[in-house]
Amino acid sequence: MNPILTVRHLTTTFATEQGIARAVDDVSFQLYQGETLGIVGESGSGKTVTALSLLRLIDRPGRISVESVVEYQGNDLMRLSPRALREIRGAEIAMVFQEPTTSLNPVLTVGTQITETLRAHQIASGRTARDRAVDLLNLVGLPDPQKRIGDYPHQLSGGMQQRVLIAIALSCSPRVLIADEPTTALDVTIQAQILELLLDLKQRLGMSMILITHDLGIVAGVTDRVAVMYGGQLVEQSPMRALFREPAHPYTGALMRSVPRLDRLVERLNTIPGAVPPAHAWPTGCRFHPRCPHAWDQCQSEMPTLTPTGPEHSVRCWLTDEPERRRT
Amino acid sequence: MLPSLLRSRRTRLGLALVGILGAAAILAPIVSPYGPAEQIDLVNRQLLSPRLEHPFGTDFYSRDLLTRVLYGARVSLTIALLSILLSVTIGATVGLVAGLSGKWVDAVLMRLVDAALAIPRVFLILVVLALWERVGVAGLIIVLGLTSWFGTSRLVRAEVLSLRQRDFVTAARSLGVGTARMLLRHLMPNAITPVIVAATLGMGQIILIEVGLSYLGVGVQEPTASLGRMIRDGYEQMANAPWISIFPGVVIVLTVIGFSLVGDGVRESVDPRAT
Repeated sequence: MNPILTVRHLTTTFATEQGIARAVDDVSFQLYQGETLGIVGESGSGKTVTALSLLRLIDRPGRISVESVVEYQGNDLMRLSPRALREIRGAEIAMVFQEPTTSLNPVLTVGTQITETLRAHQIASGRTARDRAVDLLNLVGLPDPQKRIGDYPHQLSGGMQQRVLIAIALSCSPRVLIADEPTTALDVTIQAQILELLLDLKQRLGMSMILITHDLGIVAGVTDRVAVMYGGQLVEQSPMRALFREPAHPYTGALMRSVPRLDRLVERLNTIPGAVPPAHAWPTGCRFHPRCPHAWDQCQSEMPTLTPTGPEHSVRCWLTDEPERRRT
Repeated sequence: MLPSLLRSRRTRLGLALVGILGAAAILAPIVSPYGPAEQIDLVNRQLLSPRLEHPFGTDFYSRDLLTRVLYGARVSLTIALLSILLSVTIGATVGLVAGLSGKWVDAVLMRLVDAALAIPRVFLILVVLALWERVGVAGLIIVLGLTSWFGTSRLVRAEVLSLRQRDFVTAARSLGVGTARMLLRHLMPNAITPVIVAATLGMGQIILIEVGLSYLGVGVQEPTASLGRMIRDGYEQMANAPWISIFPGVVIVLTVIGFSLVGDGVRESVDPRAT
């Protein structure tokens, strides 16, 4: 399989009053043609900043470091001219955001916001653009698109707004879709619908997708491979089935145990003690060590590297060297 | 927006005042019984008190004051409207550029605005007008417009800065929307409401400034009628012909009240936080 997107050493820092925050720290991964890659992690682990960095949507005080490379079809997106990058945004690589309500412009109609992208990329204009907008709304399953096209965002429900955002993202037939927590702001019942829609469209349109979420339950159903992020770094990368069968990193295991399950009766839900530390104060050594039940002195002093442990599987943990230290 | 605007009685009153004055100003040449500078009968119709054929009376030069008030309102409103348009255009442009470009462009523009705001507006205008011999109506519009955009530019800049952080702006950027389109379709329409409010309230203020300047004699010049100019014309005869100054004065007060009420109404209907 060929990678459609190759990310190497992606590092994004923010200058804060407390110092330099390395929100994304030396992240490397590949997205293969036609696959769905899940990026998982808690809030604050750097998932969204990673997604925004891929299209260089980082504003001051944020900065993408010079060593970062994002290769798409022979071009490094980090070094493209603003004009060339603009031609890729939306047309080749599109994004769906977390909050449908705030991601739509309140003063423009749904139709205008779809046709705007078509016009910006000179794909269609006027009557043709309008027809295409109706088709797109049909495609994403919005009822009565002929009428909805004249609606303003506040006239739609959250689920409908997310469908509109997906329609906008798909308007120029992108080859890569980056979905950043696309279902987090929605009701559980709507979540499943939207997720199904995304997958179905991905299949039908032959796209590759990066699905960013904090919910391993979502990842389990729909992704091919999973990258787990913690503290701005990738800590584990694995095909989806292997990851669920045998999570290698303690953080992955802890995330899995904290997914509520219907088939087990528990008094309390499992949680991971503590919280993700702020990005300007990552702990020394392994960034997960203050919250890790297995940690020993080496974990405090030395940062483990992301080590391949099998085909397509890699882990950033000292336990790979000394598996006997794993407590059960 | 319009139905909610009409709900408040005070706003309706304001709209009525502004509407009547606006209509009178536009229709002045049609409804006026005489010409604005026409000296009807210097012998028999000088300084006449209000009566049927001259509802607002006549002045020292035997000119019909109703006619002059109508034309005066026309001149004053035209000056106010055009200078507000000029001021809003400049202010919005500077604010958009400052807010969007950030860095030193923003810093330089905003420090210049600070400096300009530090000088009292009337003095600034007086200095400019003192240096300008024979200012016409057009000159007055330019001077008033160029000295009143500072506040607007800060409003728009603040609005743009907060809009830039909004998700839909990032979303639009992620779709490859260019800078010009971003400005015109995403930032401007969302930043326009405070500008409309400021412009409406500014109308009242700028009418007062124009009146003040004309009263001081540096604004509109004879024989053109403007409301401020007419008050000045009348003050020498205040004791024996008070109507010369009183009618334009009343019209000025009503105009300014009208614009204030409308401005407040607009603000209330677009900003739910305002009380």
